[in-house]
Parts: sequence; structure tokens; C-alpha cells
Amino acid sequence: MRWISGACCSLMFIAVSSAFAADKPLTEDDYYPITSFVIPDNIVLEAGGVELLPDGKLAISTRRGDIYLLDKPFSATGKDAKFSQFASGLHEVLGIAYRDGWLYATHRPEVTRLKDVDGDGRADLIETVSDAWGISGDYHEYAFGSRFDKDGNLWVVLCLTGSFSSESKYRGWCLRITPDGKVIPTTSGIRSPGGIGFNHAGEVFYTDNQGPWNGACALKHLRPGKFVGHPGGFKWYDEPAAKEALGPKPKEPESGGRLMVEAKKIPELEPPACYFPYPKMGKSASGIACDTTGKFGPFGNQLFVGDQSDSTVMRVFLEKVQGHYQGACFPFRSGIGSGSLGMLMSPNGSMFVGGTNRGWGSRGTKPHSLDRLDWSGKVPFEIHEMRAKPDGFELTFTQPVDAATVGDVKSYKLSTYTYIYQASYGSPEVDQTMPTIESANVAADGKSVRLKINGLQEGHVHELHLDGVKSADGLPLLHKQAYYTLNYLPE
Amino acid sequence: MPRVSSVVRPLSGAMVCLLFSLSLLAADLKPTSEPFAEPLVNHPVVAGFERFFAAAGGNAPKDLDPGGKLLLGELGCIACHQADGSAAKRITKKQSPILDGVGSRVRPNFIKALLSNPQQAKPGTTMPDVLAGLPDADRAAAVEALTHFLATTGAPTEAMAEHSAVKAGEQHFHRLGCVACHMPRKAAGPVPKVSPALIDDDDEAPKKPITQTFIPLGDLAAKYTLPSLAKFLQDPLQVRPSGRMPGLNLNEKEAREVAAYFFQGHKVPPNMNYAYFEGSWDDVPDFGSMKPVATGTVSGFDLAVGKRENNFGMRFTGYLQIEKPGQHQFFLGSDDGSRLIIDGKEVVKNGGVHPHSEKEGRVSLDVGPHEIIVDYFQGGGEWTLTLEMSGPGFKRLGSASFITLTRERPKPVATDGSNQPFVVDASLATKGRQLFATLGCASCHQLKEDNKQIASELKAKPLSKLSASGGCVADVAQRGLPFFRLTPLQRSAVSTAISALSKAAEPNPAETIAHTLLSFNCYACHERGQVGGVETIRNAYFETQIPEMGDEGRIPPALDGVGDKLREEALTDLLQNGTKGDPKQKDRPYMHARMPKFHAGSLAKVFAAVDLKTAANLPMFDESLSKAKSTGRQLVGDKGLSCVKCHPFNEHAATGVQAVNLNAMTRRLREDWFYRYLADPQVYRRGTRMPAAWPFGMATIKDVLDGSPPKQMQAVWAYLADGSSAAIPAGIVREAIVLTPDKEPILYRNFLQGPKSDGGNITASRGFAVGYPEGVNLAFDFDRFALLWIWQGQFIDASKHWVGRGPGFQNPLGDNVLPLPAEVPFAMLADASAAWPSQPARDQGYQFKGYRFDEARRPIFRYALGRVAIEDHPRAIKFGKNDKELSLDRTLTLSVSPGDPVSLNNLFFRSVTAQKIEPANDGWFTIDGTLKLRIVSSSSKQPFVRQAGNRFELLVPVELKNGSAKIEQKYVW
Repeated sequence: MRWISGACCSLMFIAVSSAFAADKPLTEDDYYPITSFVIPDNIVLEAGGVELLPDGKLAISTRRGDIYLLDKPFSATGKDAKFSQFASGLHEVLGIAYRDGWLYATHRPEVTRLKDVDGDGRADLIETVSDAWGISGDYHEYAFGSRFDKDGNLWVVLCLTGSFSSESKYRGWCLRITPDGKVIPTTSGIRSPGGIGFNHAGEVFYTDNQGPWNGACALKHLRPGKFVGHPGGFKWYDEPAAKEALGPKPKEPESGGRLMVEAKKIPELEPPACYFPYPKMGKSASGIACDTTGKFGPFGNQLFVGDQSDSTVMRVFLEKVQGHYQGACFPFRSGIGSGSLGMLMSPNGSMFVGGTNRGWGSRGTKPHSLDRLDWSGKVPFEIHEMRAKPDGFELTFTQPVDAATVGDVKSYKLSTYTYIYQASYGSPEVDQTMPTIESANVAADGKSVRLKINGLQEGHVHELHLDGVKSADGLPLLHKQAYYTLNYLPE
Repeated sequence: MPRVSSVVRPLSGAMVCLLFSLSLLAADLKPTSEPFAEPLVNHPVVAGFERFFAAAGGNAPKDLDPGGKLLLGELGCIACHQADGSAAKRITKKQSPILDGVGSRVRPNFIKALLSNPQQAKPGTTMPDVLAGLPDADRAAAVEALTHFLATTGAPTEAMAEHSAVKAGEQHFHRLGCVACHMPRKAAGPVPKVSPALIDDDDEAPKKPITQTFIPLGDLAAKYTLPSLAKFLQDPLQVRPSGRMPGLNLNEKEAREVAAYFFQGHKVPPNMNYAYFEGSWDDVPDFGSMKPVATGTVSGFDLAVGKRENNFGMRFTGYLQIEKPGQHQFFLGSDDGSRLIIDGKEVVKNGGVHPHSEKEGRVSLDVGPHEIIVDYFQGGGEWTLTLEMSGPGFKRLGSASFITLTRERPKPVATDGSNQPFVVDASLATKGRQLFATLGCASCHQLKEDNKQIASELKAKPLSKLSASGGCVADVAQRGLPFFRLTPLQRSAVSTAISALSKAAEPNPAETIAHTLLSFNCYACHERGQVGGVETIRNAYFETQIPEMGDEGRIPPALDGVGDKLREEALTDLLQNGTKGDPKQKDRPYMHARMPKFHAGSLAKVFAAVDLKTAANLPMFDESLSKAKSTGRQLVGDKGLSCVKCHPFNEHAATGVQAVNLNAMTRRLREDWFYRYLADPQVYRRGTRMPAAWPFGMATIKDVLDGSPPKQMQAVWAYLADGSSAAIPAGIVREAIVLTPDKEPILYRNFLQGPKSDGGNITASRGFAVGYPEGVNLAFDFDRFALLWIWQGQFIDASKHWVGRGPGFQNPLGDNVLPLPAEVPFAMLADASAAWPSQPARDQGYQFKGYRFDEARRPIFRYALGRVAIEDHPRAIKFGKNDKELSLDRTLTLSVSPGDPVSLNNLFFRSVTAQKIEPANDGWFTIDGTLKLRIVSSSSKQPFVRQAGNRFELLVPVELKNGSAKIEQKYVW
């Protein structure tokens, strides 16, 4: 064998060795350690949904159609926790939720609820709650289900046929399933969801993936009556239930333009709340969890979103501007065992992340996984919040900052771009601009900075690199990038 | 070099111009059966010049010199005007079409038209009007003489376009890459509508269509015959070695189909005789002994020449022209009967009265004409007749294009408009032969006589002595000189280039590449150095088999760094020979466009000179080669880095999308590049789906080769270096996952398929299968609410759905699969004779309610028909001697809520449908001789058999007593 030499891979080694130097800086592992559960060989966990039960067990639903119970989800090592089978024979379960003695499972053909009547640890009464949508036999016609909203409804997002068109009823729609099984068509324009969840205020968000009419993966707000981008399922506006709930179908978007230009013409079009630039943040956005516990570190009420491809968890800060949610995403945690999919924040502030890489490869090399992320109690130096201002951004940090570097415009690099809103697959970044950061004023509290910017671009992602920023202790940011989706400028 | 924005970049002047013209065209690009009309041009069209100089608007470079040099090469100037020194290296020589045998390709009438007025006969041609400088009388005589001379080289064969080939030809033309240079003739999939927001009204670029970047095809049917066009398309470089019309490696069938597309509706002289008979037959009669009602000649197997739609017969006769000796296979399809006779022998008989069906036959045939007879008769109803053939080198082509009216192939028509056969006049030809040499035709065109090329007797000034204007490139024709009919911009470009020639330095390799990409119009598909790439207007014609791969799957790759990426041999082969037509041999089988064959292999060295880097740094690696290979194989597999999720290996499909085959990696790629690419794919292919397997330089698999990324990469390379003979990587071959019920039943809800009780196949999206430990299995479909199949033995193989993404419907795995009626089990009929309803079950009021389990954990299915709740409880039962016999016992319990006054008159359970239902004793029935069925019903009314169409149904009346009813049905099969 012949070996050659040169520069590239040696750089790689430098990076590796510095990370493991004796006085190494703290890493994600130190702030948010991962506990990986040991999964027995006879279980294929491929975890699409995760839910904590009142008896303290964790329920995990799988793509093979099983539901397992884990007896000690908070085990320190993950090695002494045991799995047992609660149910099997469902069809790709991508969402589970507990309520009043029943476990509700959203799987490909329906929402089903399961109960263990005789107390032997296995479900023996299985009831269909709703099967009001169509399936054609196309594998891409997935159904992702939420937990319960404050009215007791489940929200279900239905992937398009082949992720391109809508050959079965309500493909490309979000439906609400009421406690009595009634179906309310809620939002159109879904393409290929990867997860669904609530923010701290109980508003519903889902992730959609790069493809037709989706320039990049994004987190989108599901508002009743709105249209979130892909017109493939418009024909179902003719269904009586959809007519009753939503009225006439919106104007069709024009391919090849820009989403915010179309949004001005189509009042129903709700822009993505936050893009996850491809492939900088990931390639396949998935599950959603919100920290409403206050026990998961400094990021209370923020959203955490998985990326299946990169086996990561990303963090999203959202604010409301002109009545719409928008905000920034940041890298948060890498190293999930397989491709991140189903997620849960438990009331005691542990985050569970289920994984699979079947059919879609992932950076995490395990074929399936269940990981728990806990906060170690150490506060990482991170951007805490990033808010848009009429003339710039305001950033707060998790720790007091070094006024010299944070107040220096040279510590930052800002670029903007957007995506082509088009019927063909995905989009490159287009319409790039380089706004000028005119000033960076550190606030009196020493934990935030106000960037005054010339050239904010409405409708663009603002990619901010904070390579020069240091904490008061002289630490660099644990994650130095932020991507703010500026659909609307605050007034 | 001009810089032109492609769609991926922010708007610039050129972009605006492109987009604007797209919007103009988009309005025209409505789906239509009428082909789009080509724009009228009256000047030589050189795609690179049109795109980057003429149509670039505000973005056009100020310096026209590169454009002028391009024209000096593309217009063939240096064929007459010798170029020396650095000028010779700066101008790419483009060899003109070889005219050996031109008469067998091109109609004499077209030769005449082209010589008379090149731009009229072939708009955009780079051939000058050589005779423009002659007085009118001399000119006409010269044209006639040259035409006769060129016609001495052969005569083309006529054939008609097969309707069946036209559609395929249209598809090839629009997606294999022809429209990268030529004007599309139909709208692409969805033609992107361009938002007005993208058109910058302030831009001052001229807002006119840029249709000149389409190289006009002109009237191909006027120039070629169908077979001669097909032959040309199969290997254009044989005739045009310049590679400016590159080959797409079309096989004979594809070439004929594309040709047929251009000849659709083109009238050709009749190519067979017909005899028309009237009568009523139930098999093909012997037409030879019968007197026809009418006779005549016809183009193709045209059944409409008869006078009737029913009760008629036809005999077609002619000569089948065979070009290569060998076994030929014939496919004769008809409604009703038909027969094929070749050289007096029956080859295929497709007799009797029947719907359209096909029969085959084989016969070995020598080169030359063969007598062919096709007999056909029509009784009533539909009428069709098709005859396709396969032979050495081609598969299933319509046969009519091989048939001629006479034993001799027909001659082309005369040039005098008389419609008589063209006959070469020997004295005119002799005169033409002289003119060919003296007028300079021979300076550009090779034409061999007795294997010796005709030498040009025209002497022209060397390039260095030319003045910068006038002469052949003047704005009007000059006496005694060819006339190029250049546009003013083209004239000033040529003039700039000629003036600059003396100062020109030798080109560096990067300039050579840029110049070559311009000459060959590589920029139509590829971007390099932010120049070129697919124009917006053509974008939608680039298609993929795997839309999920996005643009990577359909747009030809950028050429930045290609000399660094590809091994020189691989790049040479690509530039020389293009990609194979067969998708199995194509590096990017998912991409419909093919890399054409340019015969430009020598450019690979230049790419290498410019691009090559040696930059990967890899430490010594002390594993043995065999150990490294096995480690590499492990890394490539599904338990390693999962390369097999997206990359197929040999014939084994990947489990996700199907990217480039693993067996091609080390054949195509340079090792050094491979390592750098793996470390960060985005650097080399922006936006690629290819993940960084060693993100941020770290191994995700820590326990293999010390978690060292370079060692792991080297192991992967070592493994891949075995190409297609490498061991199969783990996880790519789907291993069966057989679900075997042991102590209790297994439930499997998924996409299922299997036989249908009245023939054919059926699929179930809401399939619900149960395997019982006793060895009996069943599957319901809860869209139809039907028990679709019962079977014995093995239950199901879940690997179809549990490996990879899981597409498709799975069949029962076991034996003795018995299909049952695929409709609802219960229905309320108007009366006992009303037809069983066929509308969707949910529309009839069916709802799926779920299931519970019995004591043996067998599911009891619960569904409802309106207010009637139904429990459906199947059980597998062993019985008989030593429990060797198996049955499926199914208890159906119906109930309504207490006090519900629902009336259930005429509610029936349909037990089975069959061709034969025989009642036996004690409630048993024998169904089609294979199934024994026993029905025990709580109802006082007896089950009964009734006829439904050509089948029978066994209905069980349902009577509610105290709000409930029960039916027990036992299946033994």
C-alpha cells in the first residue's frame, strides 16, 4: 500500500490533539453529559417517540411498530435499566403521548390508544382514535403526532406522498384530533416533517425538511388556517371538513421567487420561524423539545430540535415580531448515538433523545439509540438570546462578558442570504449580502451586547460568527455561530 | 473570460437578462403537441459566443478578443488561412464534417439548398456561403455540379417513423442532454414560473430572448432520411470528428427513436403493397387464394385504408431490408388475428379472435431484401396491428421502417422538383469534382476517392497576413470569396482577434481549458471558475431518477478541480468516450443527462496540469493490506460509517438513495483527493448530501484503528481499491427477517400484497397480518375491511419494510395462500338479489375500532358498520389425527347498543365468492374444489348461493336476536 503526505490531514490531527491537551477547555460533555442506554440485541429501538409515564417508566415507540417500557430512565449509567415490550404490531410509531391511563400512539395509518387493562405490563386494549387520513402504500407517507395541547387535542402532521405530492387524503396537512376523535384540518403546506412539539406557551411547531418549496430544513409554526409553504396538498381544501375549518384555498405560490415576497401576496403563508441552514446546522431536522422545567440549565423556555443526519440537538430561541414567531438557532449538542428522532424533556429537566439511521444515514454510527442529556450544573458560555432590533441585534449571554472583545465589532462576522422558494428540490443560498456592524455596545449588566447594523435584510437568514467574543473569564463561546431568520423587521 | 451568473448566484446583469428571456419563453412553453418553433437566425451560431458575448448584455466583456479567437476556430478560418506560432495554439482547430459517403446521408435536394443559401437551409450553420462571390448564373451551375458530384457518394434509404418510437424519441431528446445545446420542443416537467421580483427593472441589459444560444437544428427531415439521421446520431463523431456535435452513446434503438421523433408526420413514399378483403372469419384466412376488394400501396401497416371497421382483412406485402445477418425475432401483435410470412415461411401466427395480444417468432436472415407478408383480419370491436423486431445490435424496433416497396431500395428524388428519382449526371459530377477542389470545399471537408483525399487547390493568405476587416467577414459578399454573414458584433470580435494575433503569447493551461470549454460548449452543462453552468431556461430539462437527491442528482457537476478529483485515465475516458448509455454502466445512473463523447481525451492532461494538488497527509499505516481491507469493509458497512445507505455496491442497491457505486470510487478518484474530500465534502461539493464521516476531524467510531481518521480513511480506500471484486459490504444485501410466531401470535401492520380471489393481484395499505403459532396466518385490509388472505406455513418476511426505508408491498411468506373476497364482509342490501356494494368501505359506514386480545393473546378485531358493532375473532385450530389438520375458525359477533331501534332487514354476510360453490352436509360447502367452508349462524335463515356476473356468492342472512347475532365460519384448505 502506498501512503502519501501533505497538509490536510495533519491539520486534522492538530485539531484533535489540542482538544485533548492537558488543560483542555471544557466541552459539551462537561456541560451536558450524555448517558447512553444499553439496548439488548433482541430489541431494535429505532425510537420515533418518547414519553414519560406516571409510574416513572419511559415509553419508547419504534419504527418497527413496537412500544417498549424502560424501567429506570434516570439510571446514572444507563446500564442497569431494563426494557420490556408494552405493545407490538403497530406501523412506524412517530409520536406517543400519555393521558388518563391510555398511551396514545400516532403511527402511519392512525392515532391509536393503548391500555394495559390487566396490569401485566402489556397493552391488551387497543382502540382507534382516528384514521381520518389516507395512506397509499408509499413509505414516505409518515405521520408524526404531538402530545396533548391545552384543549386535549393531538396534532398530527402528515408527510406528502413520496415527499413530493399528495396522493392520499390530507397528505401535506396538519390535523387536530379532538378528545372525542373528531378531526379538524388545521394547517396546509406540510412537506416532510421530522417532528412536532410545543413551545412554553403551548404553541405548536414542527420541523420540515429541505426539498421542494423548502430551501432548507426549518422549524415552522403551526397556526390554524395557515399555509406553511408546500402547495402539494391544496386539493384537500375541497374536503367539507377543511372548507368548514379553513375556508377557500389560498392563492398558489409562484415557483422561483422568494418566500417573503410570496408571503406578501398570500396572507395565509406563514414563513418558517427558523431555518437550519443546510448543511451548516444539519441536513434533516427532527424532534422538538422545550425546556419548561428550569432545570436544564440557562435555556429556559427555549426549544431544542434534533438533526437526524448530524446526530445532534440544536437550540432555538424564538421571539414574536409583527405577530409572527422568528428567531435564531445555535449548535447545542453533538454525539447522539444514532440519528436523532423522537425527543422528550422530562419534568425533572432530563432530555431524552431517541435515534435511528435506517434508510437515512447519520453521523452517530449506532443503528438505533436512546440517549439522555442532563445538565451538569456548569453554565457554558453561550449566546443566551438573540433578538432582532430595527437597526441590528441584541444578544444576551449566559455569563458576564469581556467588554473589550464583545464591544469590538471585529469580534463578529455577519453575512446574510436567503433561499429560492421553488417547486424543485431545495435551494442554494442566494442573494448574499454582507451588512456592516457599525457598533457593538456592551450593556451595563455586562451580559449583553447591542449590535448596530447597517444593511439588515428582511427575509434573509443572518449568519453571525462571534469568533472574537470572550467571557469575563476569558473563555471563547462554546458555540460561536448563530443563524437568525429575519422574516420581519421589528418596528 | 466573461463571468456569467448561473442561477445559484445573486442577481447580476446577465442573470436578469436570462431570467427575463425565460419569462418570455415560459409564456410560450405551454404543454403542446406542436413543437416549439426554432428562432429564425441568419448568421453563424457559435453557442459560446452567443451566450457569453452576444447575449450577456451588460455582463459581456469589453475585450472581444477571446470571442474573436473562438470564432476564428469555430468558423474554420484556419482551414484556409494558415495559423503559425502562438496563434496556432490560441485557436482551436475545428474539423469540418467528413463528406465521405455524404450522399448516403443527405438528400441531394438539401445539398443543393445548402450550397445555394447556407443560412436558409440550415439556420445558424458555421459553413460560409462559398459561392456567394460568383455571378448568379455561374453560381446556379456550380451548385448543380457540386450536388451531382456529392451525390456520387451514395443514396440514402427512406423509412417511415414508427408511431411507437416517437414518444420514446421525444423523451430521449429532452432528457439525455440534446437540449443542453438545442431548442427544446416541448415544455419541461413544471417550467418554473419566474417571479417578477427577480426581474430588476433598473437593469439596462437588452431585454430580448437569448434564444441564439440554442443551436438551430433546421428541418432535419429535409436533410436526412430517418435511417440516415439515426445512423448519424448513433455516432456523430464518425462524420463530424470535431466533437462539436458530440455523441450521446445512443444505441441503435435510441438513435432510431430520436430520429423517429423528428420524422413524425413526415410523409414518405409508400413502402408496401396492400390488398383489402371483406368477409367474416374466426381465424386468419388464406388471402392468397382470395380476390381482394381493393389493392394499392401504403406507408406502414395502415389498417385505415380499408373501407370498414368490422369484418375485413388485409394483406401487406413488401421487402424486409436486413442490414446485419443473424437471428431476428419478430413480435406480432393484433386484435383480432394475424400472421407473418417471410420468404414464404410462416414465422409468427397470432390467429383467432382476441383482444390485442402478442406472439413471437424467430428466423435467421441474411443481408439483403426478403419477401415479407403480414396478414390480418378484423371481426368486431377494437382493431390493432403491430409488428416489432429485434436483430443483431438492436431490440424491438418497429419493423415497418425496414420494409420497402421494391426489392431495390428507393432512390432519393431529383433536385428539379419533378418528383422523379435523382439520377447522377456524370458530366455534371466531373465538373463538381473540379469545383470541390478549386472553390476550397476540400480545404475544410475531407472526401476520399479511391482512399485518397481530394486536395484543395485554393490558396489563401496566412492568418498573420490578413487585414482585420473585409474579405470573407465583410458585411456584404465579396467577389470570389466565401461569405460568412457575420453579425456586427461577430465582425468586430474577429477583427479584434486578428489585430491582436501578432501580440498573442502562448496560452497557459488555464486559458487552454477555458477556451476549450467555450469551443465545445461544455459550459452549457458545467460550471467552472464561476463561469457557465446550466442556463435557467434549460434547467427543468435536467432530470433525475431520484428526485430526493436534489440538484446533485440531476445537474451535471461543476468542473472546478476536476483535474484534481479524477484520475487522469478516468477523465481521459470521460472526455474521449463520454458516459455509457446503459444505466448499469453509468457512473451517475440517477442522472438522465449523459456526458457526451467529445473525443477530447487529451484535455485531461491539461486539467491535471491546472488543478492537481497533492495535499493529503497520511501517516504510515502498519496494518497488513488484507487486514486494512477487512477493516475498510467494516467501516463502509451498515455497522460502520454506513456508506451503503447511499452508495450501491455492484448490483446491490443502497438502502436509501442510490448515489455513485462504491465499485467505481478508486477507478474514478485520485487517492489524495479522496482523503481530502472525505475530511470535508462541503469544501469540494457545496451543498452535497454527502456527510462528513469524520466531522471536525474526529472519528465517530473510536474503537476501530485507534479512532484515527486518516487510518480509517486509508482502510476504506484499501477496501474500495478492489473495485467490483471487493467483498460485499455488510448491510447492503437485505437479509430476510422472518417473523415466526412461537408462544403467541405476531401482529404485523404494514403494506401487504397478494393474489386477488377473482384474478390478478391486490395491495393493502392498511394491511394487518396475524401469524398464529399453529402455522396458520391471515391478513386483513382495513381500508376494505376484508379478510384478504389466509395461508399456511411461514408468516412473513419483514425485511422489505424493516431494512432501509422500507418501500413496497410484501407478500405472504408461506404456502397455500388462499385469496378471499376483497370487499366488505357485511352489507345491507335492498333485497336478496341486489348487487354486493363496491364503493369504499368507509363510505358505506365502516369504521375501524381497534382490537383486544383473547386469553391466548389472539387479536379480536373490532369494527363497526354504522351503529352495528362487529367483533371478528379468528383462531387457528389444529385437529384430526395427531393434530395434523389445520383450520381457521372465525367467529363474527354483531351487536347494537341495548335499546337501539336500528332495523337490520336484509343485512347479509358474504362468506365467499367463487366460480363454484357446492353445498355439502352439516353446514359445509366446497368452494372451487379447494376450500372447505362450514358456516354456523345464529340466524334462522339459511345461507344461500346466488350468481353475481360470472361468479357465485355465498350469502349468510344476519338476524339480530336480543341485539346480537353470531356467525361462525371454519376454513379448511
